[in-house]
Amino acid sequence: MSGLLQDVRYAVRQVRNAPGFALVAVITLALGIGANTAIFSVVNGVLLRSLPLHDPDRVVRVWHTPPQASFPGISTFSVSPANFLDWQVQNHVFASMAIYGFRGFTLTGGDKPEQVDASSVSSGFFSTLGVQPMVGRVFSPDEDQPGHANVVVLSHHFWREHFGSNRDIVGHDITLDGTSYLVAGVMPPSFRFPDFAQMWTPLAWTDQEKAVRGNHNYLVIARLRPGADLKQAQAEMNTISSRLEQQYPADDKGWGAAVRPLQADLVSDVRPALLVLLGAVGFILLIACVNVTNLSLARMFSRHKEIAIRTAMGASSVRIIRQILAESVLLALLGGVLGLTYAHFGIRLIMAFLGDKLPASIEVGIDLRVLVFTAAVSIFTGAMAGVLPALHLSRANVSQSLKQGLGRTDTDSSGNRTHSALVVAEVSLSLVLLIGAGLMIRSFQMLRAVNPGFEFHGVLTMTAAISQAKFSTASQQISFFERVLERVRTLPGVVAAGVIDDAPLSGNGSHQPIAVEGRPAVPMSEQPEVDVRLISAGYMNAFRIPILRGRDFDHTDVVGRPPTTLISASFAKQFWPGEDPIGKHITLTFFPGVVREVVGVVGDVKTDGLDQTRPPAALYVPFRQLVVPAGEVWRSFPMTLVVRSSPNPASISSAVTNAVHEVDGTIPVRDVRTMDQLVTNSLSQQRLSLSLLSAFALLALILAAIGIYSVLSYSVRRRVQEIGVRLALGASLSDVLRMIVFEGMRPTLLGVTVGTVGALALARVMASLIYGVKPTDAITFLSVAVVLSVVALVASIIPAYRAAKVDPMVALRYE
Amino acid sequence: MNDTAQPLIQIEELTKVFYTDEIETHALSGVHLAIRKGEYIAISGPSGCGKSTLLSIMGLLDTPTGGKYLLNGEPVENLDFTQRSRIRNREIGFIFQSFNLIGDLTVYENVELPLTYRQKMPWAERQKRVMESLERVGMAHRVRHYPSQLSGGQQQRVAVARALAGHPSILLADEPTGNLDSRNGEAVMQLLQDLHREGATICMVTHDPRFVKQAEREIHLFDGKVVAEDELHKLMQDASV
Repeated sequence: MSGLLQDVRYAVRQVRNAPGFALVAVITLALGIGANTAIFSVVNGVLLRSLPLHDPDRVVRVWHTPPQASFPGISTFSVSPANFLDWQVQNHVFASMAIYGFRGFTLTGGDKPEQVDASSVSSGFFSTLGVQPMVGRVFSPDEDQPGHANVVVLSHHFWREHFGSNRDIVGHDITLDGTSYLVAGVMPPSFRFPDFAQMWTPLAWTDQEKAVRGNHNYLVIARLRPGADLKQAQAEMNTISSRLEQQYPADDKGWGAAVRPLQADLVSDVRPALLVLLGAVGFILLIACVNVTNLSLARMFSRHKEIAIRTAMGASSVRIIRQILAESVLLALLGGVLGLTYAHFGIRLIMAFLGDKLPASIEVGIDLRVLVFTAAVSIFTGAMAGVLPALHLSRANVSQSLKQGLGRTDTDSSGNRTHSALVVAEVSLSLVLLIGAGLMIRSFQMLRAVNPGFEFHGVLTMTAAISQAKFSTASQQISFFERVLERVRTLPGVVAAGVIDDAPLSGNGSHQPIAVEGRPAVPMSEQPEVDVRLISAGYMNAFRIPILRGRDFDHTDVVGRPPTTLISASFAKQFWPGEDPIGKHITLTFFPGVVREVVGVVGDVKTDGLDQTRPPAALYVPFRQLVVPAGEVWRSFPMTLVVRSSPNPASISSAVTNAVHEVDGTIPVRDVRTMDQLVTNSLSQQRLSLSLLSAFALLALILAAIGIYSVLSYSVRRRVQEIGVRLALGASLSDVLRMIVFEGMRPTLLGVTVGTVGALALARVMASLIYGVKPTDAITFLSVAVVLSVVALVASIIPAYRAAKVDPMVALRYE
Repeated sequence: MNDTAQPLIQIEELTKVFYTDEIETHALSGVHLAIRKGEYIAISGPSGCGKSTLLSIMGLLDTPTGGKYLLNGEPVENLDFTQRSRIRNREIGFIFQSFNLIGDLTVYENVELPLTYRQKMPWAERQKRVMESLERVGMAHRVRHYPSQLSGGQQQRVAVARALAGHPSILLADEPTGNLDSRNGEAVMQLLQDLHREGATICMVTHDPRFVKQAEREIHLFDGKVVAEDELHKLMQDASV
């Protein structure tokens, strides 16, 4: 123990005595460790840290899996009420199951009406998740019944913001959609599920709602029974799904179920990007290690004698190695401390990009696990960076080192080979990172160049957050938006305006089964599903979506006139290839008896994201022909205004908001943003991956350049005498330049070759993150190889130039 | 290793061959040598005759290519690095021509260095030995100094103190006065002489005939072989012709 303390004490002194080396090493290691800490903090928060629930590993999400014939490429789907109720009754693997959906309310009683996002949940929702209210209680099963459901549980944030954390609000009423709701309780601050929920109300399905099997609008969670595992749960859900398929073929044929751990499910979107980034920072750490190893090796050049003395005094090789490792670990720990500072800012930067892509319940920051990780990475990095120099020194020829001054030893040639091998490693790792970043850049360029099918510049969108109970009939809702549009269209600068139920790239939208004229009637489960959007006249014009055939909606497309529809070009191609679709008919299955005539074909629109590879078959219904599906209760719903203006669209947002409130001052407006912002937001995850990978790749490039430079500088310093002899014997400056540059470029080119092979091997990992570019894209590979080689050339030229300026007379006296 | 009937060092048919590319260099060729406890031996010979190689092998810094080497009656020619380190630490004290003090360590720490590589030596014992050694060479008043703050003679005295601190069986001195002026050189040689009188076994490599005379016995090396003194003169004359 005392020996170890001595090693540490001596390491501290070494660091103090070589501040320049220590500073460069600490900064280099801090970059690597900091990047790793930052990304690990995010991975820790997102993938490793448990949700703040009781026994969170037992909580799962149960999805529907849709028939691929109708939903090609879609792996999971929301759940219908009737199927959920059957799952709940028939399963033996879940201790409890619960279902929830979205519900919007208008809160009144304050200064102005306010839109509130709530989640309507079945009884057992909170117990399934394993959470207790902080104040009051949650719902009783009795309250999950029609007529008894005017009760809410508030989120902690909503309670704090609206009621100043006053506990007395529990037991009192608040007014939602003009109706009194009893506040039953308040949830703890850590509970934020689902993300959007500011409060929770009981679902309280009617018998009619419970019977809906073909309409999938809810999400299901469950808690595994003690002893049951995921595999068993999946097997049982498969059995139940098969049974339901046979029992209800019209609705359930082809529909299965997928059981997934809730935590993994919540973060499945960002998981691949995080893992790639974790790999990238691992590479950065290795490069930093290699660089510090190289620096240490160069420094060891001047420490042969000291180590030889220690060896002569009886220090064993283990003791020598331990001492060198103590020094490098100390440097790495200092790097770790500095790296934590980098990580602190790095995390903030990452969360600025990624925050809205993550569940609200996930917290990212530096906790004990991150600190332990950083310490472990620091020690590992220090050991990695120190092991080669330590082995190198412990094997040095002691008697020769003792005889010589600080000059070369017989181990120098092997040391030089080690340096070159490290440069190969460094360059190859950098190349892999640079190719990753290059692919992301190319992919991002492709995404930015994608034609989404609509002209998004110059468009303002905002949602009139109409609650379910706002309008008692469809015609009231139609009338409201008609009047809003009339006003908006008269505003100065407004070029066109329309409304849609779910705007493109908003992340929402309806898929519905349809029956197509001329095709044999099939059960609903076998019917094709298409994107269905409800729009007003003027919507196509506002987004400049081209009318390819036929006409746009106009004032004639109203209730009482023949039902009409617009279809997308992909729709036409899919259902009537080579035929004129105008005049053909389709029926939306949820609106039986309403046969719609195709009056126009419009351009394809990427509704779900710019990276959507297959244009969706879409169908547009005129909102003035909005009717209540047979047998269903009318519920009003929010719609989005789409306004094209000639000045900056953001500048007319107040005027458009006022136009809405002039028609009805009680309707809240939300999500006021330009379409440019929406497009930008839709690319935020790609931008984050691109930015981070690019930053890491740049860092790798700089570290590689420093590595090459330091190795060559060391080599030149070591070979001054030899260079002097060469010059004395008649070598020209260009001969010396060429010799040193060649020495730098040889491992670089070997590293480029090794790195290219590595990048090809890792191409599959990148495939899920890029769009429109092959993971083996030759242009990217070639460009990166050229860039890296040029940087290496520049890094080689400086020491080469210094070598060429060696004075032979001085060099020959050099010791 | 305390059998006094045995020579402290016994070397038989010792060879050392260096291989560089395809060239063999025979640094030592069949050297026989015995050193008894308490002896003071000087090894001399022209440059490149193998003096330092022999000293390195005797000090377990290097291994022979062939032959036998018994230290305190135990064969040590085939030990691994760790075993050699342990024996070197306990049995051998080195004094180098260029002092070989570590510049980052104080005088005290330099002298303490061999003791730090010993398992389980209490701190008090270490301190006692360090101070005794420094007092023995007259450098106890410089414990906090760094080597760069000392003269060459003082540095060599510290090096001698370091060699003594471990209570070794033998002191191996490689040209201990080579980097010193005559006054300091003589002082160091006097110190070695005193140590010998107190019972220390010393084996010294030196060129200087004045200091060779101080030793009890002189070993002449020529081309890696031990030769008699008159033979050495003849060989050197032949070589110069």
